Amino acid sequence: MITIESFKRFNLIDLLLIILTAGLWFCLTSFITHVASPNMSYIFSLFIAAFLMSFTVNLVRKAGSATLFYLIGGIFTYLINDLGALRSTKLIALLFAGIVFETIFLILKLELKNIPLDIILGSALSAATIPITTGLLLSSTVSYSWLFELLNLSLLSFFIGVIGSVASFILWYNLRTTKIIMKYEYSRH
Amino acid sequence: MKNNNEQQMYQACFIMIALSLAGVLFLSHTSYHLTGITGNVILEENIDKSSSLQLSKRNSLNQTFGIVLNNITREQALHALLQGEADLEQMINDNFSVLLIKDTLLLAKRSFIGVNISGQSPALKFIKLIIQQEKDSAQKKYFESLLQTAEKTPVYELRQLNYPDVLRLTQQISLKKNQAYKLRDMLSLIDDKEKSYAVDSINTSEALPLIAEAKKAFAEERYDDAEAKIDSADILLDKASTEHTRVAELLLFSKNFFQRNWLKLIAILIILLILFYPLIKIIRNKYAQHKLDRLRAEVESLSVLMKKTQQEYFISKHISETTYHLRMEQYWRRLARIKHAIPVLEAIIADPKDTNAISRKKQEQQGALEVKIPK
Repeated sequence: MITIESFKRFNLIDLLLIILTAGLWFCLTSFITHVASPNMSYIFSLFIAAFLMSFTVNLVRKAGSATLFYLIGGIFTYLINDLGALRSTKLIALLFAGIVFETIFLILKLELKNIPLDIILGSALSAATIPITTGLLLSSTVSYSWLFELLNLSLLSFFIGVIGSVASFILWYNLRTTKIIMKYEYSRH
Repeated sequence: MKNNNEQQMYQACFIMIALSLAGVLFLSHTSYHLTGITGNVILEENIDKSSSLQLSKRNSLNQTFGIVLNNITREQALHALLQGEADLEQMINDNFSVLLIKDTLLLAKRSFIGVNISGQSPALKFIKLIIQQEKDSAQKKYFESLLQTAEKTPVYELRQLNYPDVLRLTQQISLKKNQAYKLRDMLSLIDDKEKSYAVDSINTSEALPLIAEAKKAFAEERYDDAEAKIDSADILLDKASTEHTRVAELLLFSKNFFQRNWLKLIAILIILLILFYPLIKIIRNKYAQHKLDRLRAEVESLSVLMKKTQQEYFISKHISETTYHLRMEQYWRRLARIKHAIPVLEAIIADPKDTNAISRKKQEQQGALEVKIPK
């Protein structure tokens, strides 16, 4: 069942928040790609992306916020080789990941002990689609011949997505009653 | 103190993180298989299980026939031939040129059929036996074709019975097949690279003839030659790209800072404006509030001063009429200015969205007396 209440217009403050988190993603990922090896930078960049995306969704709670975050982040990190692709390929892969997240977020409304499983599962699956989409966009033949490796990478991304989204939920849970978050929540109404 | 529900929530979160972390560590563990972050879930031994199973079946068949040459059984040689046929078929399906492969396979077949020292082909008997026993029609067809090859081969083209040679030739086919697929991808990649460089106005003219030669060599099944040409073309493209970047950077540095970064500067300015707009608003409100407080205090002090002046003139008669009027005029002028400024500052401070505040303000402005019209 699609949750209609998630379809709301974005305020200026929502957009500013998404731009701010995407900017943070850009800063952190540029730093990591400079200091870490390609493997490590992939893991950490994806963790940061999943963490910040889940945090944004927890805060904004509107359909489209994840896709917007991925797209703005994708534009900011257009020329940074953090997730295995650059330019339009990266944007398309992130757009697809965003769509996967939105679909799960809208359809699967599931909570377990206050943990939003829809956001966690959405983040994990959207992270898992990134290497597959990137691989298929770059070369379907090469992807097919490296099928097992691609599957491994996808599974790895899934776990990173889970860690990122759970960590961001814990942070949000502890910050949700702070003055700044409350002010943001009520300034939107 | 956290309640029970919260504790359970944290426990669930940490379990999820721990499990995922274990998964990440397992998948990105590089020291054992040296495959990087890709390749630790489906390991080579898993893939090889099915092939080892097939091999054990074949070994039992060998025991049935009991024919071994240089440690290679006839069954192994036949299996290698079938693999060669499969490779050939795959290449035909993928539109590769297969003249060389066909020739190599024919040689392998002839080595398999072969003639021994007595001038007889022991494999023919074996093939006929298999044709009789085989139930799979496709397999049966293949063995019949093998029989036909044996019958059609002229005497001067017959080869010595040599199973190791069959294995060597079929392995050569397999290697050529892999090389062909790899080269096809490499050609496609180098083509894409050349096109993208050409779009970026990089001079690729030196690499173009090499790419064309590589394509020709690939079409003519000269795979080693094609690989060498692709490598050379790649080096030339990289050189051209480096040169282009160098020239572009030189051009860039020849411009001044604003010319170089006007787009970034505008973007930063817009972002700063967006980010600082709420801050500017807050600062303006604070400043207005501060000024309002100051003016209100001034109004109070003016009224005290006016009272004092009136007392000095009317009661104690310490000042003259001219001094009194001069002072009072100054006070009134200042008061009038302040009363003009106060509503403007109040409007700045008030939130335009706060409709209650606006209506309250309107009521305040109505004054003390309200005229009610009788019905």
